[in-house]
Amino acid sequence: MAVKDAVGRYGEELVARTLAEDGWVVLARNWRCAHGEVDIVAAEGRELVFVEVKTRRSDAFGWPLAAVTRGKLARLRLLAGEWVVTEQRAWAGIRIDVVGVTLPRAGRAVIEHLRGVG
Amino acid sequence: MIGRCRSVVLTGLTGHVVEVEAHVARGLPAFTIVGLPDASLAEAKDRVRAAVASSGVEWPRHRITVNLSPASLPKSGPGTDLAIAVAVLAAAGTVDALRARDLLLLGELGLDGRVRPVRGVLPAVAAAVAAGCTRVVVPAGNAAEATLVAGARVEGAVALATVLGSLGADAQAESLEEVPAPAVAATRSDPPDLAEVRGQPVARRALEVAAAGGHHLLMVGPPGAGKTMLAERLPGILPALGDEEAVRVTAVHSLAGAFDAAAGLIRRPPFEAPHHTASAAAIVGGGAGLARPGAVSLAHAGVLFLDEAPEFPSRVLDTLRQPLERGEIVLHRAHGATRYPARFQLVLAANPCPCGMFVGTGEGCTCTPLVRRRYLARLSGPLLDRVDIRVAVGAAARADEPGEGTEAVAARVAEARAAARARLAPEGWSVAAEASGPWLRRVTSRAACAGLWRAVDRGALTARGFDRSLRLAWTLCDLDGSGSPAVHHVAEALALRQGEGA
Repeated sequence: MAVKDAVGRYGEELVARTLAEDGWVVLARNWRCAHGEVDIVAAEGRELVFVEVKTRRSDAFGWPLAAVTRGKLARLRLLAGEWVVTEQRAWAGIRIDVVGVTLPRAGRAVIEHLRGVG
Repeated sequence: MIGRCRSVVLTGLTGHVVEVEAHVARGLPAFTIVGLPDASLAEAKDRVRAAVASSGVEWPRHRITVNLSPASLPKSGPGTDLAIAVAVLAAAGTVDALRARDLLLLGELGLDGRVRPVRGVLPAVAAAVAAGCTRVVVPAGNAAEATLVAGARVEGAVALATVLGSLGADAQAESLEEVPAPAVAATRSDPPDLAEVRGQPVARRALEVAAAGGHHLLMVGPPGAGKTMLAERLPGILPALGDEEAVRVTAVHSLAGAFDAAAGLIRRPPFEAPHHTASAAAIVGGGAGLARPGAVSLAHAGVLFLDEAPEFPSRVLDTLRQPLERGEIVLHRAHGATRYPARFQLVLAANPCPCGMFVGTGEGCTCTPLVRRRYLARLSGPLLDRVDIRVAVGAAARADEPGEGTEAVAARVAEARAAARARLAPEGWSVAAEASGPWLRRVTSRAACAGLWRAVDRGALTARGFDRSLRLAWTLCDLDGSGSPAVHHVAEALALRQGEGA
């Protein structure tokens, strides 16, 4: 496994744990369909949340959140639709969150959570 | 958070003070500029971001929206870069938002964080001061130009870092060199001396009369007779520009990028001599988006000289009608109309025929009569109608003596203009060429008019020609120092009007 994939997986793991600690129910991790993959599908109360996690080890190639482009958001919306159709459950609301994780060489990981971006 | 500061955008010569507002909100990192920016202004995003990074200041990692208000005014050009950078950093809390609010900033940013000079600083700063913003930050290269505006407190900025530093940011003010304003090729020097023109008593007299009354002038003569020499010496005998006019003229030249601020305001009437291959856009102004000033505007309050006038395409010559009529030019584009001043004195020079030799007995001329007739007919009637003085410039002879110098003639012109102003000021005019026909007819004695009426009866003079000759007669009498035109003034006016020997 390439180092960048390992970094990505670590970031997702970290975010999933943090969300669970905050009382979210993680419904799926790396859910795939024909159109792509959602990093985390979770429920915050009665609201369904699709979470995209971006992990970086430094800012040298841009901030993690800046890597989520308009096209990426459009695909997330499409995937959200697919998931809802597949799972057939009622939700009070559906939204997309983006979580940026910066992993410095020393010290704690920095987590930035943006709610309802798309 | 909201950050605010001000800047100026130009529509032609009119400066509009623009409020630059920046809003920094949580969200995916993005940078949007709204408020009708054009392509060059939309590119500010990339320049500003790079310049801020080069200044050692962190760019806010949020969703940034910049609004240029009033949002309905189309905006163009890179002059708002500096203001956008300050507004964004004020919104992010990097600089003191309260101090930034009172600032008006002008300037383009380089990727290295230097503040680069922009065009049209003079009209922009003038607009700022008129709107009550006296504290302005301009590029260091434009500081000399900005200080020409009375009442402005000007700060020249070399780099973005120093501006941010003065607003309380922790910026690295690297020692960056100042970006100088682009060098202007044509340095301003005194116009050539009239004493260098030998002989030509009739043409010299015509030039003096034209200068005294602001009359348009046509010179017809063979090549090498000295038409261009004479025309080039006209600005020298015109009075220097007043304060208000000097600012307007300098503003036009600043906008065209043809102004050297080190020499101060342009005080000498400008001289523009476009070549006869010039396009209509070069003469009246043009360009994509909002039009730039052309030769007629650069010649505002000065002289527009068209050498080889019949060689100009008639389409180009006819574009002169509006500015000749109204003293300004309005250029309409999809983005809106732009207005520039264009009150110039027109000087036309022409050869008598295509080969140029039809003078005196016309023996050396190889043109057929038809070709000769057609040549000068290329100058359209409506255009020639506005030319008060038509004069023949004969070939120079060896025996001709050097004439009077510029200084002596300029003194007489100044006196005549003072006399005309004293008489015409109550009516709101300054030179005879502006006076209305009915008013002139009322104030001129019946005896003086008699000669003109006879010319009208003969069919040698049109009604419009009558008024124009009368204006000329008044200018001649101002040059003489007499109170009102006598019969001989009218006679000379008729001769000048009808082109003695032309």
